[in-house]
Amino acid sequence: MFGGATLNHNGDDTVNDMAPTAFERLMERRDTEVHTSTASVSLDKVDVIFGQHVYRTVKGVLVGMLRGTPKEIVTGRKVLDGIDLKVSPGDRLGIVGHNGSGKTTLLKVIAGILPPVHGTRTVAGSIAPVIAQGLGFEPDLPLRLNIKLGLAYSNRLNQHSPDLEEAILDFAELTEFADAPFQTLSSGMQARLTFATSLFQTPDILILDEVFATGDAHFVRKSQAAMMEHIERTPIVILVSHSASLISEVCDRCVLLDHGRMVEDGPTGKILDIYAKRYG
Amino acid sequence: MGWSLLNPLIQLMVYFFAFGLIIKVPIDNYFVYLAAGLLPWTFLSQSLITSATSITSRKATCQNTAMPHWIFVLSDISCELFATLIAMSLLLAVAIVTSDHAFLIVTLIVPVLLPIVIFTYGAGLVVAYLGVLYRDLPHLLNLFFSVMFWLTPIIYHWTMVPKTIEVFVKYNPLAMLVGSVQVLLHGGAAPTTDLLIATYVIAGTAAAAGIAMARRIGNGMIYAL
Repeated sequence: MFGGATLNHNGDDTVNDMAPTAFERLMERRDTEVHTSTASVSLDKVDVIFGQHVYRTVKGVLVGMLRGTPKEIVTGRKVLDGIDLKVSPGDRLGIVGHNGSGKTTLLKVIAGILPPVHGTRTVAGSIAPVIAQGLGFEPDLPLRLNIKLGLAYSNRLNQHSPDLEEAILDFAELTEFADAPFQTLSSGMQARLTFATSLFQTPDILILDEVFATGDAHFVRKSQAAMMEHIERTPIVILVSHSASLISEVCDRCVLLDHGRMVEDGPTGKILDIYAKRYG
Repeated sequence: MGWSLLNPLIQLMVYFFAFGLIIKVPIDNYFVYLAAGLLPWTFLSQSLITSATSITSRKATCQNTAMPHWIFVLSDISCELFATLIAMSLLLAVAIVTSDHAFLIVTLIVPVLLPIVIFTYGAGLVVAYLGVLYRDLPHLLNLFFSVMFWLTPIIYHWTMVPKTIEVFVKYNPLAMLVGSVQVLLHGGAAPTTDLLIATYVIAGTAAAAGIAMARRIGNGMIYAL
């Protein structure tokens, strides 16, 4: 159905190593009417506290009881403090803040990885987190099975097909290592596979955490181009980055985090100015 | 996977060697009796010991994906179950060939094994969540199951237990679960209704506890990982 168009496109553009055909076909299937989407993200007074729940050992508890040592009180550290956030279709939201301000934690709450300790998270639409640390790949399994695992972990095992597998391997430029164990790849190659696996999906909400700078210059260029295409066609995009230029290129709205509190919310230019003035 | 299958088979051989050939436990068709008890036991105990680390061993995956944590428990137990079913089908073949009650065994094997499977999944969930909070739980479970192994009539028959110490064996829920399989495969008889009901109550309780914990805790354990 889209084969002809893709072929044409490739024919016209002879130096087209920036956007491979499989990815383009995926993008062409995408509904470009971003604003008619019903996707939304809404956080209401969300708190996240780290270090409140500590693990113990049964032995330790028994010894403590015998000795009569009082149970230590653990207060924990508030990483997110009363976050209220609404994101609607068409929003390209940037999250900025100093190191340790809670940016990644906020992304993980939105992605559903961290359940809020207090408050509520409501999300409508499918969600795809592209978070740098990886998808939970198994080091011993070959790439093909790891792709399958990555799909299962992001709840899209039903989309698995040999074609998709090839497309992902092709984009990551790892076809020749398809049956090699994941751990035999260099860390750059591992990052490429992670990126490619996250790339081949069409979510309503795209969540990005500093994933642009993986691999060598050529791959970074190629993945940036693909990601920009993705961003254009996804109803909601939420991005964390330390790069002000990337944020201002992608986002039309920004929130500024400071020690877990959301201190500013507004148009990108204004927020980046405030950020540069306060922390720069 | 291979080890999950080999482990109970080797154990079976060793116990048969020691207790069937040397000590000569006075039970007819001792090999089938031993297998009927040992296979469900190994499934149950190995599954629960593995479950205790199902979530903790997948820390990185839990912190980077939104997978519900109970999936990992189900996956680990299903792996054990698969190996057990292979070994079980061998035993079933032997039992059907050697028994005069083949029809009964074929009809009742599923209703008799089902409570063990349900119990294991339910208890596995409970153990997995507790295993996040108490990191030495796998050691404790190892100890627990090595004690319970000898307090459950697997090597010996429950009728051989002296009246004075019967109490240690009689109210053991694990012995009831295993016992109904022994009655069917070795005894060639249907377990009594009381026993069957008891096994389903035990299984239902474990399942209810596991499901309740999974629903209440959700992925909240991530903060303690």
